[in-house]
This record gives sequence, structure tokens and C-alpha cells, in this order.
Amino acid sequence: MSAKALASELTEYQKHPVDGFDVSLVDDSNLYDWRIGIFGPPKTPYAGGYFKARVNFPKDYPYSPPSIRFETELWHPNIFKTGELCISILHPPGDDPMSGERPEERWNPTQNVRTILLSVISLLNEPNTSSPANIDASVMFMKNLTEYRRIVSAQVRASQEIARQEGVAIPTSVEEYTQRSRQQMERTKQDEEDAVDFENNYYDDDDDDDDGFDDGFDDYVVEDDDSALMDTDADEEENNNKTAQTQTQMAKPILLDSSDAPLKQTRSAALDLASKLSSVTHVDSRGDA
Amino acid sequence: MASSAYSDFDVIAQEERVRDEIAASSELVSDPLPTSVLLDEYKENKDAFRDKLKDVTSKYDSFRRVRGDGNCFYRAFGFALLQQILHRGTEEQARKLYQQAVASKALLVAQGYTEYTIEDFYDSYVEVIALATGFPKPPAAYDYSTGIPVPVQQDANSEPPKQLPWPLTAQERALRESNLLAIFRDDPVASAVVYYLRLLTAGHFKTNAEFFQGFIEDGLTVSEFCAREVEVMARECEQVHIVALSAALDVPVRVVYTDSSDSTSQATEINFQEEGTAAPTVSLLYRPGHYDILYAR
Repeated sequence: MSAKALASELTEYQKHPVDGFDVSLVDDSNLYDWRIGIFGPPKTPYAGGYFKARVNFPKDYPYSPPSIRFETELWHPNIFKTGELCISILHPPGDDPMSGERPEERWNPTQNVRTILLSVISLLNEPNTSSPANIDASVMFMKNLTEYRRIVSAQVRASQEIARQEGVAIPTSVEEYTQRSRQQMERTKQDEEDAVDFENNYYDDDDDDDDGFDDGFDDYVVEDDDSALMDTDADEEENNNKTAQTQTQMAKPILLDSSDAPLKQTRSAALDLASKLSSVTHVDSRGDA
Repeated sequence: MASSAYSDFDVIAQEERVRDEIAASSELVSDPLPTSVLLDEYKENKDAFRDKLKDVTSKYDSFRRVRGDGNCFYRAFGFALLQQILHRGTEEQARKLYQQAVASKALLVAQGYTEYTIEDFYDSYVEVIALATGFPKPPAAYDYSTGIPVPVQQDANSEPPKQLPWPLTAQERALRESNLLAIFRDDPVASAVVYYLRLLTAGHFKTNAEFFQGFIEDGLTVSEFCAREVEVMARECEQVHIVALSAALDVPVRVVYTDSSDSTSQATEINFQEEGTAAPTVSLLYRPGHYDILYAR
């Protein structure tokens, strides 16, 4: 079954690409070892970058989660220096040190590569400093954002060189970034599902425990109070609908810009991106699942 | 994770080793064994636990072991249900169980599950239900013969599936039972069935959230509880899960509880969904932390 599930997922992503990702097998005879190319999302410090990672699936996928290891060096609080990615969606819920994360952001067999990739994009935008894998990067992100961004930019440039050598074209504008999936959307009707899934997950990052990093951080956490408030609402309101929740998540700050103006730009770019992708108005209530 | 010296890769490798060890030492569902085996197993025990097992052997002559991997309730329930319907179910019960299975995906989608993420689990579940209820195997949604899945065009004008004349012949039942056992011993497919039973349980919790909220502790909402305890594999079940699943399928379940408390020398039987109409009663043996399948004398 895991082979069957993986084969159909792989075909699915090649037919309906996930924005910002290239998906392929490392070796055509092994379905359990994937290579993904991640294009840095526009208007973030990772924009223009091309980051390669390996996804390893266990034999009992999807009952156990895959693991992800970056092959391109990437300075980020949630990526170990060895390249392993530490993100809540790759862990089943349980009483472990990654507490404070909501169970719906954890692994369960209805998650899939698409939901993982969307969480990865969210994590690039908004590191989770409450459970860092790279403590140095995490501290730098909080204390010295300028230096943090300088390191990331250097890595982006290095990755561009590799992309050039490999003949990979990196999308730079939002238009290009979303082009492949928009083309698909025009072609097929079946995309309704995918767009819904996108809407459901793009902002559904693993970082709802914002409250953990107030110190030295207030400069960037513009709406920290607001989002904390909304989280509480979301917890209390058993049947709050997805629209409200999506707004909650959209209202959350994208942290990587240090002044208000670029922050607004980033956020509007993200909203723009979302509206371009989800022409569908279907509301999915799985968010409170 | 930050302070841990172990990476995800180490943890996953370790978990796989543990799973492999358990898999090598016990079958997912065993052949039937006489219940007297249980008395031998606990012959050193002189306490009330053994008395209760004696009580069990007087009423139930055989049992099947089910692997203790945190999914034993769902697995035991699933296999026992299929056997009950196949051998002892009425035509009406069989039809109800099948139609309910076919309709269940739409109910889960209405509860907020994304259709394509539950498709594989649903397919496996309907497949085993069809086998046990005398319906033909539903047509596959994808053709995997070339290694690359190709959606199969369904013929819109095709007749709805017809149930075989009920009751099935003894030969037909024996064949179907051995197919079911093979499926339940084939880990990936068996896992899909187990997971779908978890989804049905979670779906019932969510549909009846107001009722179940009172049973849920730690200040969790019903949805949070499902995400943490039901919608993941290997999370053990409590009585409230049995209440939910037996009600979701309208299947009566009898659990025979044994433990070493000496307030009584009788095993305690609890019936869930006693008047359930979708199948004959499914009997399970509970020993602390574990469920197996029981067969009455």
C-alpha cells in the first residue's frame, strides 16, 4: 500500500505541481526516496533561491511520517546543521518536547507530501524559534536579523549558481511562481480539490505558539497580541468555520521583514498569492479538526 | 527536539526496528486457539485474574490473538465484525453494513476530511466489507498495472452492485473468510482498514461532539481529542472509543473484562450498542491494555 500511495502521490504532483516545488525520484526504481527542489518564496529573504532536499519515506507510510533532509546548505532555526528539517507536521502528536504545537499540525495518515510542502513554505517564512534545531541560527534570527539575512542571501546566491549549472530556471516573480499550477487549473476541473487543500494548509503553519518568543522580538512581532487572542478564540470555538480561521492565520505577521512597510508588502504578496491560487471559495472545516 | 541528541532519522530507524521486532514475534491476527491456552499462560497466577479467565473459558471456547501494537481494538473489532456478518449475519444486516460503508466517505467529507486524503483507506474498507457481505468487489478507482496509477473510467450506466443470494454457501463463506484473513495479515491493507475504522470513530465523535465532550478530559475539544487519540495509528482506545465506533456502525459489541481486582471472580461483560442492527454481536476479550477476539461456545 505504501508503494501504491506513493506512486499515486508522485503522479499527482507531476500532474498538479505544488507551487514552488519540483518533485522527482532520486532513483526511478525506488519510490521511497524523493528529491524535492524548493524555490524560495517571492518577497522573502529566500526569494530566488533553489534548495534541494531528500524526502525519505518509511515502509509503513502514510501511517508513519517521512523525514526530510536538505542537501543545500540552509541557515534556518528549524533546520539542523546536518540538513535535517525539524517541523511539527513530521511528528505524530504525543507527549514530547514539541509541546505547545496543536495536534492538527502533527503527522497523521491523512497528511501527505503536499501538506508537508506547504508547511515547509510556511516555515521558511516564519521560523519556529520555540523549538529550534539550529540554536545559533535561532539566536541570530532573534538578536541579529541583519546578519541572519546576510547569511541567507549568500546561500541563496550559492544556490542560484548550482541551479544555473543544472539548467534549472528559478521563478522570481509571484506570477512565475504560481504559473505552473495556474496553467493546470485552466486545464482541469479537478483542481478544485487542490486549491481547497492549498487554502487549507498554506497558512496552516506549525507556529501557533508565538507567545514563546516575546523577548527581544517585539520589533518584528507586530500583531503578536492579536494573533494570540485569535488563537484562544479558535481553541474555544469548537465550530468556528474555516474562513475565520484562515483570516486568523493570514493576520499573523510574516516575521522576516524588519520594518512595517516591507512587512505589509510581504503580507499583501502572500494574500495575493493565495487569491491567485484559490479561485475556489469552498470552505473546508478541517482546520479545527 | 533541540536538546535531544537524537535526530528524526535515528528516531524513525529505532521505531522501525521496534515495529519489526513486534511483527516478527506475533501475527496481526492469529488462527483460532482454545481458550484453555489462556489458563496455561497464566498458570502461575493464583489471583482473581485466573478465576476470571476460568469464567471466560466456561462461556467462550476459542479466541484469536491480535497483535498488541496500539491498534488491537480496531483490528480485533474489524476482523470479528466481518466474520460475524459473513457466518451469522442476516441478509438485511449484510446489506445495511455494505450500504453504510459505501455512504461513509461522504459523511466523513461532510465532517471536514479532504476526500482524496481518505480515499485509499475507504477503498480498502469497502473491499473487505464487500467480501463479507456478499457484494462484488467495487471497481478500483485507479489501475496500477503499469506501476503508474491511471484513473479508471467508471461506466455511468453500469448496474448497481448485486448481492449474492444470501446466506452464502458454506464453500463461498470459507473462501471469503480465508481471503479476509489473508487481507488482515497483509500489513498495508490491514492498516488501511484499521485506519478507516479510526476515521469512522473520529467522525462519530465529531458528529456527536456535544454528547462526547463530557467524556473528554484535559480540557481538550472533541476535535483535538480526535487529532491526538483517534486519527493517529497506535494510540490505544478507551471505552469511549468503543461507544463511538459501535454506535457509528450500529454494531453490538460485547467486551469481556478480566483483571486481577478481587472484588469478583467473574469476568465483567459490558455490552455496547446492545440493540445494534447492522451485525450480530462482536465479542472481544479484554486483558489490561489489550483486546483479542472471543468466540462463544
